[in-house]
Amino acid sequence: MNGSITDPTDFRETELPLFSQLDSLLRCHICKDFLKVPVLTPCGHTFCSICIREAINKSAKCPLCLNELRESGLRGDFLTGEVVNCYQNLRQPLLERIQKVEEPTVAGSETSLIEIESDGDRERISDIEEDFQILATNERKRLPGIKKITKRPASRKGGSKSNIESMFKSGVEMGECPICNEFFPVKTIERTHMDECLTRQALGKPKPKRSVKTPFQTSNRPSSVDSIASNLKYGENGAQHLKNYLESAVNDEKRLRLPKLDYNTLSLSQLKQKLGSLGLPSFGSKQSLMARYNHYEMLWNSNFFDSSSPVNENELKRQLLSWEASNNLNSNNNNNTIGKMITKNKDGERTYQKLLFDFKSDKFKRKSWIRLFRRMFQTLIKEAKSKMQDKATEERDSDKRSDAPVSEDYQTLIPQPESNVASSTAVLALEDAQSAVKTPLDTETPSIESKSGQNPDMNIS
Amino acid sequence: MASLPKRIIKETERLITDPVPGITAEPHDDNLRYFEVTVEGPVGSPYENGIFQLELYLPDDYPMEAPKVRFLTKIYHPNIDRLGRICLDVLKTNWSPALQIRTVLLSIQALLASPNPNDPLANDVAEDWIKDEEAAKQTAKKWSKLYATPKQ
Repeated sequence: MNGSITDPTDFRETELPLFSQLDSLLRCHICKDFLKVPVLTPCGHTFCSICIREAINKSAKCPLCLNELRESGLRGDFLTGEVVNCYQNLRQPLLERIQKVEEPTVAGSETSLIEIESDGDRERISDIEEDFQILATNERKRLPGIKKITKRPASRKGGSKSNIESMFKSGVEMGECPICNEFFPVKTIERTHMDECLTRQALGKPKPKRSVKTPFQTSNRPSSVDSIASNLKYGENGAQHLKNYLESAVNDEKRLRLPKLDYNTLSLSQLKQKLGSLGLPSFGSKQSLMARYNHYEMLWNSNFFDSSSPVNENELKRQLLSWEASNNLNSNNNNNTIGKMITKNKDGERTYQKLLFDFKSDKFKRKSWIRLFRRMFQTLIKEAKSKMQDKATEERDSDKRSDAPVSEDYQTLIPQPESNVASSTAVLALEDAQSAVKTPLDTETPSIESKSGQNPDMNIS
Repeated sequence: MASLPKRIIKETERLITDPVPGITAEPHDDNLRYFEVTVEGPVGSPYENGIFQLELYLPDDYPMEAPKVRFLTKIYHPNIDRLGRICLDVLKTNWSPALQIRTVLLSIQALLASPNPNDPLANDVAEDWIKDEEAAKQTAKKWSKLYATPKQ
């Protein structure tokens, strides 16, 4: 994972340090990574589609200029997107080329392979397709009219070979398919590709390469785009980015934008129905359902409206799933941290969840709550006791105090859920308890030594 | 816990390899979202020569949510209270995901250079500051010497 983390400062030690500026310009200011499906705001700033949508969900402002910003104002920026993709492919070879001579060249083609593979799912998918087309060879048919071109030497791209390039050893003849205008090794076209293309045309199916669905719908392929695209003869890699960009003008399908939902008026079952109709899982609390819908809506709108090469719904669902898994959505995220602190074993966790469920109702079992948190209470009490005793010893000389008022104080340390119904969460109850312990401390200065105990939020991992 | 986003790893790497002058930030061994921070008092301010310890925590929602920052060293400043909490717009309403750890720490250093007693957090300090700025600065200097001088 560490290998794929790149930074503009990588260029600082090279012969062209100015590249670090270009490198940082092509990055999103939110995730600090290369722009992935960039969108342009009305105020003229560019971010990753997902990043800015997430940010807008939190506060409707442009992160850079703090101007008001709505999701409807975002526009996909296809050109920037392809510029970034192109640059990402160029980056590693470029870096190796302009590295100062005295520095040993760092891991050559291996790193570039890893990097390209991590670039994104789309690229990986297209790789697989290419693989498939190369490997599937059965028939032999010589077809006339294939323009032959020899692939340009790899040095044009700057020394190291990308994974696509390295699959074809230099000298493999590339040809353009007269039907779909794609570039493939001549042998592939002769053996299988032409057949596939012809069948496809006969069946009236669209090109299988990528399904392009963006809001700019055009019924007919504009001829200008067509001719430009077919005039590109730079080999499979050189023209790919330009082609991707031009094809953003050609869309066959239009999708409906997923709306924002008003959760206040929706009942749980209505919400479940809504998720079900989208083919999403409908288990979990209302909160997790809401989070699930929100995230899916974001993925959907970003994919079908901002991306020049959208993926299909199943891929979106897979992304949603992995997001849920990494965000631990199903286990009551807000309260979970505290549950983990106390209960390492599963039983404890379950009791805790059950108790938490009844927290507001009169079914709440106070005794088991106390039992569950006993160890924590005890440490708190011990802590408080020692501090009280410290104080007491100071005061003992002047005033012989009995233990009674002290022990009364301990009672208040135990968080009493009933009295905390208003705050309702266990976290708050516990914080109350902890701050109660800390009151004597707070009157002193917050020193470095008290760091670990002072702020419960700070240490929860 | 949610996994550590790439952005946090990047920021951490950069903070260590390319630190901001006068500021250090190191992640905790057990929790990579928790940073131990030191900020040098800006030259020309009453906090000059002081080295202030802070703690910084990146919440799960970071960068959509501001990092939580707190002074651990005692400091006499109208916008920093006794608990070390900081009154700074970029940590509250003006947080933007385009900001990052280093910009936040720079803002804090700038706050030390120019206290704002008209938007106070520590009311008593702010009152002193408005009443007699010179005396307040002297106190701030004294406190810096007392609490923010690194122990040999």
